[in-house]
Amino acid sequence: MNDAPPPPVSISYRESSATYYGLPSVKPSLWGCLVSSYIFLAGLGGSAQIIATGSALTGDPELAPLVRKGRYIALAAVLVAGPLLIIDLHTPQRWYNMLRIFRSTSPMSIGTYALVGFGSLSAVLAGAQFASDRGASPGGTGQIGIKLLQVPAALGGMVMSTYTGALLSSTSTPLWAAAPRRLAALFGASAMSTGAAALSIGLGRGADADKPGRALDRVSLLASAVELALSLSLRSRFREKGVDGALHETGWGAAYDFGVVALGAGVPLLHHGASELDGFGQRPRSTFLVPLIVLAGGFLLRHLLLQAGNASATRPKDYFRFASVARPTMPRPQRLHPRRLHPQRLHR
Amino acid sequence: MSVHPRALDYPDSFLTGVIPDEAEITAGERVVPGRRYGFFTDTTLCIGCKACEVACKEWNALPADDIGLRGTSYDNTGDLSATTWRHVHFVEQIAQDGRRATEMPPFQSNWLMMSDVCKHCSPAPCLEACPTGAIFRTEFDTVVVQQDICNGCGYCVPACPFGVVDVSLEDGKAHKCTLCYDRLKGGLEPACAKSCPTDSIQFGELNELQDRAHRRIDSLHTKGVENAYLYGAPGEAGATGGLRELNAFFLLTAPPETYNLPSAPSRPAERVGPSLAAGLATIAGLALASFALLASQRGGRR
Repeated sequence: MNDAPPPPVSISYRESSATYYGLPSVKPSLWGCLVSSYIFLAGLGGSAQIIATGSALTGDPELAPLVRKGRYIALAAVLVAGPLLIIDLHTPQRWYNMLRIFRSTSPMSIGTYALVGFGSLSAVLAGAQFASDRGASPGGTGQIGIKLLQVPAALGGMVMSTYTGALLSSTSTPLWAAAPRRLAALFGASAMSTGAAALSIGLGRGADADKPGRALDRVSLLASAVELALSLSLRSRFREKGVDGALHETGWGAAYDFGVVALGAGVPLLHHGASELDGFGQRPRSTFLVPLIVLAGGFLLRHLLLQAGNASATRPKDYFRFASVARPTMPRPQRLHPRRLHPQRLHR
Repeated sequence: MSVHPRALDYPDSFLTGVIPDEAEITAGERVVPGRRYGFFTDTTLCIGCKACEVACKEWNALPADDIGLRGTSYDNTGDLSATTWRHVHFVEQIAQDGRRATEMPPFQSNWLMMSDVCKHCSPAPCLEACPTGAIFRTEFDTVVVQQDICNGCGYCVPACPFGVVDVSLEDGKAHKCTLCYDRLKGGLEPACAKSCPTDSIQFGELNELQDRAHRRIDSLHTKGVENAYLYGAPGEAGATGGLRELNAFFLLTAPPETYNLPSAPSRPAERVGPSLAAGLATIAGLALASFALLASQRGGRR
C-alpha cells in the first residue's frame, strides 16, 4: 500500500556538463562573404605571382605567357581584394589606422603589411610587364631591377597565400582554432591550385598556350593532390577535437565533402592525372571547365570554413570542448562528503 | 565594517565637487597610476540585484538593451555586448536529467549568481589581435578600446576567449568594459564595484585582491563550502593556455561552464607562429616543386 518515498535527489554542482542555457560563450566574427572573397583572392593572386616568378626564373622563353598573365592576375586580384577589406570595416573611413602600428601577434596586422608590400611589388612588376608588352624595352638596370623585385614579390605571394589561415586560427572560434597548422597549410595548397586555375583560364587556347598550359596542369595536379590530402586531414582533425558539429549538423559538412574535397581537389586530380598517365600531350587540355571547378571549390572552401566557424562560435559545447584541453591542471573542487552535502541525513 | 575615517569629512548630503581620492573611502584603495588594478567578483555574495549592470549603464551612458523576456531565467540580458559591460548570470539548478532537486547543499540555494565583466586579461587577446593599436593597456593595467582610433575591423570579437568585446553596428566601433578608466583617472572606484551592495564586486590593487580572495577561499572551505575555487587568479582555472592571469577574476562554486566560462581558455596569439610556419612551409614546398616542374618542361616535346 505505502509507496516508498522517492530517494532524495541532489543536484551535483561539480559533475554538470552544463552550458548557460545553451547561450554562446564566445562571439562569432562579423565576417561574411566579403572576407571569404578576400581570402580567396589573396591566395589566388599570391600564388599566381609565385608561378609567374617561377616561370621567369626558369629562363624558358616558351613560359613567357605564364610570366605575363601571372603578373596581371596578381595585380588584378590585389586591386579587388584590398577594397573588399576596406568595405568590410565598420568604420571604413579610418582604414589607414591599420598602418598606425605593426603587431606581430596579430595576423591582421601582418596581413596588412603583406598586402601593402605585395600589392606595391605586383603593381611595379605588372607595370613593367605592360611597358614591355607595348614594345618599350627597359634598360639594363631596369631588367636587373625587375629580376630582383620578382623574388620578394613571390615571397610576399607566399605570405598572402597562407597568412589568412593564421588569421582565422588565431581566434577563439572553436572550428578555426582547433587546427591552426592544417588550416593554413590547406589554404596554401588551395591558393596554389586556384592560382594555377586562374592562369590556365588566362592562357586560353592560343598556339603559344599549349606548352605553358601543360606545365601548369602539372602544377595543378601537384597542388590538388596536396589539397586533397590536407582537406581530408583537416576534416578528421575537426572530428578529433570535437568541433565538427557546426559542419555535420548543417549543410556545410556535405558541401565540404562534395564541393571542396570531391570537386575542388578530386576532379583536377583525376583529370590531370589521367592526361599525365596517357602521355604528355596526347589529349586536349581542359582550359575552362576543370579550372572553373577548381576556382569554385577554392572559394567554397574559404566561404564554408568562415561560415561554419561563425556557427561553431555560437555552439557553447563545441567551445567548451575546445577550451578544456588543460583541464587536468585545473584544481578540481574536492568531493564533498555526502553527509555534509545533505545535512538532513545527520538527524535521521 | 567600519566607516573609513575620511568619510567623516564629508557629512553633507550634497557635495560641491568630486571628493579627492574618493576610492580610498569607498574601496579602501587610493588609485595610483602605475599600479595594477582589477576586480575580484565573489559569486557567493552575489544576490543578483543587477545594481552593477545599472550603475555601469548610467555612468558609461550606455543605451538600454532589447527589452524582453528570455524565458530561461531571471536573466533577460543574456550576454555581455557593446552596450552591456556588466552582466549578471542567473543559474537556476533545479533539475538534472529531468529529476527535480529535493535537497540542497549547506549555505546554498539552488541559485548561482555571477556578475560577469571583461576579464582585462594579461596578456589580453583582444589587444594582441587589434591591428590599429586602438586597444591598449592603461597605466592602471586595464585594457581599453580607444574610440577615436578603432576602425571596426572586428578582429577583437572572435579573438576574445570570453566573448566580451563586441562591435556596435550603431557606430561601427568595438566596445567593452573600460574598468571605468575615466573614474580611475579621477580617483574614483569603478561604478559597478561602488554600487555593489554586498561587496560581491571588489575593486582594488591586484595583488591585494588576490590575497584577499585566497583568504576568502580558506574561510569558505572551513565553513563547509569546499567546492569554492578561484577562476582567473595565477595558476588557477581560467588562467591557462598562455593567459597568465585575469585582472578581473572570480570566486566560483560550480564548474566554469555553468557560468558560461571556458575551463581552460587559451591565448589565440600562441597559434600565430605554428599556423604561419605550417602554411609557409607548405606553400614554399609547393613553390619549389612547381618550379622544378616548370623547369623540367624545358626542351620537352610539344
